[in-house]
Amino acid sequence: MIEKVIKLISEIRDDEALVTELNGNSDIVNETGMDSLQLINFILRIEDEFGIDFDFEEFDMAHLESIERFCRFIENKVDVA
Amino acid sequence: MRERTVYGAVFEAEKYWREPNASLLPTLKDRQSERIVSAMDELMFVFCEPDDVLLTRQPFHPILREYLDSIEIRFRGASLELNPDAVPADERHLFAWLAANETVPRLVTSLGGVTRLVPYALLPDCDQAAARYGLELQAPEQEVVARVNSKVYAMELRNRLELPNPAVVARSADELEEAGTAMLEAGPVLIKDPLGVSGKGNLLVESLDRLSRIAQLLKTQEQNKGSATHFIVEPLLEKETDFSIQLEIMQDGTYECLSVNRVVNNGFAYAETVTADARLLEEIRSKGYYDTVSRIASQLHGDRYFGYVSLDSMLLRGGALFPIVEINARMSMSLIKHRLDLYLQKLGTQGNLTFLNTEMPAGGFAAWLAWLEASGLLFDNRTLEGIMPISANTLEANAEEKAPKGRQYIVAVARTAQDRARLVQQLRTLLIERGCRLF
Repeated sequence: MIEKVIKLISEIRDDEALVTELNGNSDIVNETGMDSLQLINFILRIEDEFGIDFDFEEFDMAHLESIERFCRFIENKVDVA
Repeated sequence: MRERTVYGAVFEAEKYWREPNASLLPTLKDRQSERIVSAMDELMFVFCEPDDVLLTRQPFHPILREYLDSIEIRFRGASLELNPDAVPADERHLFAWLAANETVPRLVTSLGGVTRLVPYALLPDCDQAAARYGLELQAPEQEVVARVNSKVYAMELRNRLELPNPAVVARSADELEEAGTAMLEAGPVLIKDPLGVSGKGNLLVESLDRLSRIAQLLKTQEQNKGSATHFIVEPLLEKETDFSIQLEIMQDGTYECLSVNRVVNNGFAYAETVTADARLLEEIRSKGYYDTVSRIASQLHGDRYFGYVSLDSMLLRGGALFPIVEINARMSMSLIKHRLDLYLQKLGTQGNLTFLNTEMPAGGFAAWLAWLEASGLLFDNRTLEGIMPISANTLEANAEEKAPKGRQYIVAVARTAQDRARLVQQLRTLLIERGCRLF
C-alpha cells in the first residue's frame, strides 16, 4: 500500500523523482510539497482507489504525519467498510 | 498635503466575507499555511512613504528592515505582537483584534501624526478599528465590498455586459450535480466557491464519480447543519494567458488604470507576476479590452463600489478574450508588484514578483540573506540586479514546528526577462546546494 500511495503523490505532484525520494516515514503535509488543493485531490484519489469515504470535517491531520501512519488509517477504514 | 497613513492587511479577507452558514468544498486545515498567510502583512511596506506606518501582527523582521533601509526603502513600523495561536478565534485578524480590545497606548504613540487607515481589504471590523484610533477610513459599505468580490457578481456582470458566460450558479447539491453532469459531457468542470481565493475553494472535476462524491459531501452539510449551498459551476476553459489589470475607482466614478500584469499560476494557485509586455498590451487593446474595462469600472461604481480593483482576465487558446474571470475589489499581489515597479522604474530597471515555498533554514531569514549576499545574488540599488527579498516573517512563520514550512517572497530584478529567470534559477540552485528543501 505504501508504494501505491507514493505513486499517487508523485502523479499529483507530476514529479517522478518522488517515487524514489519518499518512503514510509515521509511526512505527507510537509515533505511531499503538495499544496492545499493537491492534498484535497490526493484524499479524493485515495477514496476512489480504496473505495472508502473520508469525513473531511473530522479528519485529524495527524494521520498525515507519515505515509506509513496514513496507510494504517486507510487499512482501518477499508476493514470497517 | 499628503495625509499620513497607516497600512494593515488581512490577506485571507474572503474567509471573513463568506456567509457563516455557506457550505464548503472539502478542505483540510493546514496550520502551517495559515501562519504563513497571516505573516504576509509584512508585504504592505511597499505602500508606505517614509512618514507612513505599517501595522503588522508580528514585529516587522529587523533584518529585513535593515536590508530595506540599505536600499533606501523606509517607513515607520508598529506591531500588535500577537501570537496567532493564542488569541480568540473571532479576534484572529488584525482589525477584529483592534476593534475588540481597549486602545493600546503604545500603538497610539506609534500612530502619532497619522490620520487615515488603508486596509488591504475592507473587513467588517475596519470601521470600528479606525474609529477607536481616531483614523479616517474612506471605504464603501461592507455589504457592497462582499458582494462585488463574489464570483456570483462577476458572473452577473458578464451577463449584464453581454460578455461570454459559460458558468451557472448552483444553489443546492442537487443543482450542482445536475449542472456538472451536463457540462462533463464536453470536458472537465470547475466548481468554484463564490468567495474562494488563490486556488482554495476551486475544485476540478473530471469524472461523474468525483462529481457525485462532491455533491454528497455538500448534501450532508445541507442536511446536518442547514448549510446553504452556493457554487459556481463552469467548464474548464482552455486558457493561453492569465493577466490582470489594476484599477483605482474614485468616489466620483472616474478611474485610473495603474498596471497590467501577466499572472503565472501553478495549477490554480498564484506563482509569479510579470509586467505585461508590449505584445500582450497590443493584443488586448486590439481586442477591445480597455473599452470593456471602462464598462466594468462604471458598473462597479454604479453598484456603489470605489477603491482598488484587480480584475483577473484571460486570453483563451485560439485568441478569444475572456475579460472577467474574477473581480478582486481590494488590494492585490499585482498591486504590490505595481508599487515595487514604481520603485524599480526610478532606478531604471524592472522585476518579477514571485515566491519560493521552502523549508525554513536553520538560522532563519538571517542565514538565508547571508547566503544571498555571499553568493553575490542579493539585489542592491547600485548594481541594480539581483534578488530582492520582500518578506521574512513568512519564512519563519513555523519556526516552532518539527519540519518548519516557510515561504519567501522575492523580486527578481534585472533589465531583461532572461536575466530575471536566470536569477530565480540561480537562487533555487543556491538553496538546494545549502541543503534547503524546496516545495
